[in-house]
Amino acid sequence: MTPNAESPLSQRVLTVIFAVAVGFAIMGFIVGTRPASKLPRSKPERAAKRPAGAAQSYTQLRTARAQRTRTGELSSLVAAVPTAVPTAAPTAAQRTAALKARAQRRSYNGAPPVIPHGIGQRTSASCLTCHRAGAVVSGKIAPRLSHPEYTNCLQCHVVSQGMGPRNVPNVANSFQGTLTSGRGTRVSLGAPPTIPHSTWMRSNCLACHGPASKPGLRTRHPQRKSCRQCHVPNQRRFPAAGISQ
Amino acid sequence: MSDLDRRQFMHSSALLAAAAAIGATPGIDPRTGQGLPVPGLAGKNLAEAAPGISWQKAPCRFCGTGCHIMVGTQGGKVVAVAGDRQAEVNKGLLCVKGYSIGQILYGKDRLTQPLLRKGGKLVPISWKEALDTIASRIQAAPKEFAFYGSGQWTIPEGYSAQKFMKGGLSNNHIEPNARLCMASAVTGFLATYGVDEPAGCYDDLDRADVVIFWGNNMAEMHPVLFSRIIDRRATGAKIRLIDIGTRRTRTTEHCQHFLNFNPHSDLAIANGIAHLLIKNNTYDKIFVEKFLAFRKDGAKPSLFGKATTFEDYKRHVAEYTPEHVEKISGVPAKDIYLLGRLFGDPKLRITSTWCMGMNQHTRGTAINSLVHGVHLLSGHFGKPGDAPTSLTGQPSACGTVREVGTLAHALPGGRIVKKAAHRKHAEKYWNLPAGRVSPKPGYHTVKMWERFCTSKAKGGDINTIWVQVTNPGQSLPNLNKLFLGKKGLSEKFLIVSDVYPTATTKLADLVLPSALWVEKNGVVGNSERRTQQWFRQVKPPGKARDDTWQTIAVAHRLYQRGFAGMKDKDGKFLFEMKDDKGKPVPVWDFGRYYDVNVDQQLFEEYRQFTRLKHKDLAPYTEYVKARGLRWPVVKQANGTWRETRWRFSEFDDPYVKKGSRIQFYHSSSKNDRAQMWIRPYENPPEMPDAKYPLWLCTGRVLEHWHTATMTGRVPALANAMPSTYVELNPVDARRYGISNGDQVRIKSRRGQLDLRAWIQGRGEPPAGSLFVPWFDEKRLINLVTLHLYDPISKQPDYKKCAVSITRLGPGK
Repeated sequence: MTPNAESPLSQRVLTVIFAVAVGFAIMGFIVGTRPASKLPRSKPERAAKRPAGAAQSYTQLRTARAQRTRTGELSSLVAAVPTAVPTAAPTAAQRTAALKARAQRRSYNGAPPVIPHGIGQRTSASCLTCHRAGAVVSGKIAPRLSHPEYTNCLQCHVVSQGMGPRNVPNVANSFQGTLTSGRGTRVSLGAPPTIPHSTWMRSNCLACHGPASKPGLRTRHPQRKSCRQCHVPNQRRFPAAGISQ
Repeated sequence: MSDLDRRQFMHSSALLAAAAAIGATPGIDPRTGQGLPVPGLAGKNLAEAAPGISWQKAPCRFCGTGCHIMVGTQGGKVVAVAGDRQAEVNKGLLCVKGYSIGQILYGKDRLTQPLLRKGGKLVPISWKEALDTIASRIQAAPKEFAFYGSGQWTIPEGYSAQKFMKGGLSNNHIEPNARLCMASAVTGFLATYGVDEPAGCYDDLDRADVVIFWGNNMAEMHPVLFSRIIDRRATGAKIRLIDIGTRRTRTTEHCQHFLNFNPHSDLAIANGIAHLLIKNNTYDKIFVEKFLAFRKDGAKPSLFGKATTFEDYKRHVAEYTPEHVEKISGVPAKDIYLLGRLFGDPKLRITSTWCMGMNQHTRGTAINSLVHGVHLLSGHFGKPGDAPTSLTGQPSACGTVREVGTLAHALPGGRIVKKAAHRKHAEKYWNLPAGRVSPKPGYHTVKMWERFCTSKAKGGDINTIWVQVTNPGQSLPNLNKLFLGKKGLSEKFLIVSDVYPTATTKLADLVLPSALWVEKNGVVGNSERRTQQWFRQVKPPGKARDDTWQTIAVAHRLYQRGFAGMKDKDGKFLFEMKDDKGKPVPVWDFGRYYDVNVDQQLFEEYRQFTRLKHKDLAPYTEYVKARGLRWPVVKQANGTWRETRWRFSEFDDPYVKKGSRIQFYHSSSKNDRAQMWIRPYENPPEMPDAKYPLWLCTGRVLEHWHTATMTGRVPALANAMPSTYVELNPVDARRYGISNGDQVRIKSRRGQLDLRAWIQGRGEPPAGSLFVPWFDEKRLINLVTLHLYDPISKQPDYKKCAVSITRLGPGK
């Protein structure tokens, strides 16, 4: 597997983006406009309540959005990605919680997760601001892209709650997807477990298993970077699909 | 991983498999992970069982891209899907609809039994009663019966409907919804090359230096193809993307150039490019000398027009200076010069793509032929990366509608009912007595529904329509006139085969429950001439049954009743199926339907039709092995079957004469030349005025497919896009006092609709125009749209009509 190759240019751009984000964070802290608040989750995307009448101008809308970003959603909230130091093994409870959280955003194992927050509908650029490198925002994890080769984010990921009443057929669906691929297998006690899931579009292991991931899925040894030196996909699991690597 | 590692690993996995087989770990809740073994307890890890999912290929059920999917089934249900990495089309990637496709089978309100309207209510009846009801309606008036399907008909479904109507009932009233979707693309290809369907293929997208989207929001409508283009940038490819559109979309965001044109004026832009090629002397001289003929319309627009000269053509495009084009289209002259320069550069590879924007157009045939013309005149044709390529919106618009010919005037394999020789072919392959196939074309879609919604006393000579695999109650334009007019006409009878209740079943008199996607066998054909096959993988719910079975069962009921048309010239049943030993199998009994592969038998019969226009298909079994093959698929000396990627080009198309480089071997001028059309810009039939001051454009969104009867039942998709909206420009919002989320009323000369306003949302129309997605069955924008159509293709224009907008109040 090829290492995640990024051009020096994009790294420089990322550095700038991060510098700006951190700058806002410091400003937010000093001004103290607002205590750290919870990341709004799964709220319908609605325009802020205003008296009815004239539409807001472009500039007004943009200012309002920038204001929200400054005061609420990003600034005071971005924390440094934890350092890669060895940690304790996840507990069973942590693991269950992590799988439960995963299941809430996927209809089956392998489905692209839905987006649990509001988004800019037009482009993927804003997605990449946080998700290209990954970030921890107000304790919430914005996972790093697990498939850096695909950047047309909105092709596969949609918001969990769009605008407006549910007009499309409002009926239940009895689809029961398989939600977990189970655990990796070991040849003997102490041997590294195999990878129990497909690695297709999951070329960046640390997106889900790195230090900035759900505690229940984290690796105990994030300082080691060459995951697939020891962990190999379980070929038997995905033969017909041609989806193993 | 080295080979040694792999071998060692395989060895250890084999040991593990054995270990896993000994003891499974029951009791794990797959939704929550409850009951998962505690980490560190190696014994339990070893005992973990394989998930037991079996995987099989199937093409996606949605758009015309034709992605292949690996379908995971377990316990008779679809439980997972994955992109198929062996598929050349999508290379393992899907879009959000594709990833959700397993769920379309499991909406709680699946139709599971036949329903007949009795005393105003739909009540359950038996299949026997349902078949008898249809047979009686047909027998009472066989010439007033019509069949309405779609590009979602699989090839065997469309083929059996086609044979049933034209071969069995001698009735040509069979139409597909594809008339509303890509009829103008067909007439564009026919008018230019004398034969339908693109010469290029998706490989062009991997090679092009420039891709031009003509009114085509590919990022939302063909997302996997769009990624195929833009992902090249991730590997360093320099690729120039140009969006020629009437509104800003997600596609625009990836393009270097956005040419925002006034609706309908794409004709002026194409003529402007041709003008510059001539003026700058950068047209391809060899193409003009050897491969092109010139053509224009006579007194009335027609498919083949009359011959003219290059001189005449030059005179015609002379007036389309970039400055003149700017006046008509609103696109700055400098951008027209840019297009002229690009097309004038023979070193570049240029691919054009389009879909509904150019097809749903009252000048659809004209703009299609002009875009082909620009490519031909500049020589950007017939090399990898140089192609004008239309995209289809349905999985088998090409395979079924265009190739099987489920249209009022067509017969399979590019034949038409008007030609005696073509009718003879059909009668031969179907073993029918001479004269069985009627030479008179049936009614095209708009006319068919007009006649159905008109009482017999007033000339409405269609009294029964059987609808399969589509939802005209939502998708027809001007619904008040073309669909809702059926209300109160007690003599009319509407039969609907579908999988869920829809806007159409609301007016249905008889509803038949159908099998969906991998609940049946199927063969379809995508936008790049690729024919794809799949097998049934799960059983349909309740009494739902295959559409092909439904058609054959009705045919057999008529046959039993002695209806002469259902017999071939030897007196045998029209759809006789035989087992390996040559013994007839009673497939009309659904219990016996899968005793043989009906799809395979119909496909092999149909295959005989495909040679005439050099659209040769391989035997069914070849498609079982492949992830689709692009026709013509020609048998090689060594016995293998070879597909064709570039038609009409000597280097790839086996039917091109050696030494000719390019040969248009179905040329309508009979000299191996393609036709260059003189097609001037003209104003559209309805334009904004004082009373209706805004343009209205309708279209689709990424999350929903067509009328959302399937995608609307997928929670993730329905939640992401729960209802439709009207997109407007901030300038118009200010002018009409509308805020984001407000309730507004859209009104045209034909109808009105109340919607929620979305300003600066996913797309942005320019000032003076609105955009409304049409997927929402509770907010039917087709109450407002125009039913006028292209005179040649008969395809209506859903992309422009004049409307007004008023604010009703704040959003709820």
